[in-house]
Amino acid sequence: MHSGSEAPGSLHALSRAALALPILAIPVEAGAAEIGEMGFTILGYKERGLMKVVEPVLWGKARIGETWEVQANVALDIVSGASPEGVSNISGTPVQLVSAASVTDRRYLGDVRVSRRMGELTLGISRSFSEENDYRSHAYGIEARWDLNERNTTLAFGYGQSADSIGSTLEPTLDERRDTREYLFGVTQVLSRFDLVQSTVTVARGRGWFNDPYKFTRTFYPDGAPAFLFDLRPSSRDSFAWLTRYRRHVPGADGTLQAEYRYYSDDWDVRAHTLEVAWQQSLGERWAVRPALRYHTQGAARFYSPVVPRPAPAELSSDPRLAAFGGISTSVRGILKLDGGLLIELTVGNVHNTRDFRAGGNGSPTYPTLQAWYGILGISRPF
Amino acid sequence: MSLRLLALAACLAAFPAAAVEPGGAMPSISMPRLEKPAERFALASLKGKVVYVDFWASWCVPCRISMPALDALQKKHEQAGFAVVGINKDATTGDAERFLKRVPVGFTLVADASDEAARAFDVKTMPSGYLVDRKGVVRHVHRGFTKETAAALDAEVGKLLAEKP
Amino acid sequence: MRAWVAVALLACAGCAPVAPYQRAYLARPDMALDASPGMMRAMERTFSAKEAANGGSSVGGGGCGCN
Repeated sequence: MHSGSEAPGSLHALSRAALALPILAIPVEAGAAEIGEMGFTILGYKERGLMKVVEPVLWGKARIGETWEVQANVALDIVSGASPEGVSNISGTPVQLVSAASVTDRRYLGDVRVSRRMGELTLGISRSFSEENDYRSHAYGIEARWDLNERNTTLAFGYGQSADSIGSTLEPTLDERRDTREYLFGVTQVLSRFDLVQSTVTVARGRGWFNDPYKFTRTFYPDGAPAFLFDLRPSSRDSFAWLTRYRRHVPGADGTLQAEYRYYSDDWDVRAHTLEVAWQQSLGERWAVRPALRYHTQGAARFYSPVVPRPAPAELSSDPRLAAFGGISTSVRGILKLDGGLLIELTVGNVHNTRDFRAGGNGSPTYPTLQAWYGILGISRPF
Repeated sequence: MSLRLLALAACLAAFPAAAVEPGGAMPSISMPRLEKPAERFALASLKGKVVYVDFWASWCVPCRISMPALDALQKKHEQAGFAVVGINKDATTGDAERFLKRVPVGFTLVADASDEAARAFDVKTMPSGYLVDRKGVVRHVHRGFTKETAAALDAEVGKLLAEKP
Repeated sequence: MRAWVAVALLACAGCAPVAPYQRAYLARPDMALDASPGMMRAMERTFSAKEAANGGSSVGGGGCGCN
């Protein structure tokens, strides 16, 4: 039992000790042209009362010859602690039930991207994997970027396809599939010497098994037998995501504004808005600090319900991910850039999701408030 | 759909084309020296020498190979009458100085904060280098910089130095 | 509809282009549109496990065991 993310897929991971050492040991000659960059990042995430996640990531990018570039990442996602199982109203109002035992799940992720620049056009292909004991995902992507207007405008076109296999440690016979296709179109536009904007639209169509095999809903009725349903979701999901990012450097303040807004909507009736604003303030030649504020608001899926109505419907999920709620996350990042190009970044943040933060009110009444802290340490260097 | 294509087409057509190409004259301009901004340096003062005018910046990745390569090239050919002039395009001289601490060079360095030099040469990429003969005529333009550029440049400089003025 | 208008406006904004030698500020690391791959994966992991609205920035990423 675990909580995953929609993060890109995986290759088999290397041991953590071997990951950390090579980065600092490779010598870099002063004045050498960079052919690439590599880095190590580790995330630690802890929810109050619930799960803990540790995720080390090793990544690298390199130019090969004058026109080829390769990027690769591997990551190991380790989830442990109590995790949510279902929703029951045995205590009167529906509450989340949490597993009694602490289970540790490991997920291996990786992806590789190869691209070639031909004048104004860059073509790339990518492959990613995600593997854990009850879930596998393999995905492919192709992307084309076209630079126009002396690289003031860049158009991006992408297509991706992923094939997922879903199983269950509770039900060994479960073996379902889900296929997703994604289409992307984006524009990056330089607005002036000081600012630029990027806007990207992604349309995704998923078909197959969307149910969560570990979740259920149990509702007790004073006048009869309790109603019980495993998580039941539609067998398709069509979604639209529009992401806009803006960057503006303010030379007078020696700082940069970074802002991002995403609109999301799908045919499960989920509508969401996510806004993040950050300010990266340089403090001298080596240091910078970046406070950030993120606000997320979403409406519930049409089949979301923390109680099973009578008669029981064909589709129902009490998964809080599909509820109506809002979240505020604050974070601060400290950045240190050393001579020779070594970069160290430490981010500390807080996530607070509640029904009350939903824009316009009407958050799901039984949404379980989430309080979590996270820390991300990243080290990288050119080579 | 067509509105967007029209807008893009208009943007593509908007670019001026007055590039300094082989056969053209080297613009005769003067710029402030990078480390002593009160002093000006005039390109015309190099008449009679073979000159390589290089536009560089700390934010230009290939400049990490071009700068030491040009420094070596100047040292090799300066007795024969070859000079390199580096025109810096950093936003602040501080950025340029930090780069030069890691990659020191001995050739003439000037700043071009007003973009006057970059416009005069109609620079199309960073880095861009213009090889000028003893008569002040641009003979080769190098856009971008690779190991091959360094080798080609060495041969070109040798040929131009050998030409009778 | 709103999306196409925004894209058209963005394309028009490019008609005062920034020359290749004027990109000193745009080349700054804090002006990059993507953070490092490790940082981006960590940030995505933190939020996408708890929200229903994912994706938008790239294609071809694998799905997850989202429980």
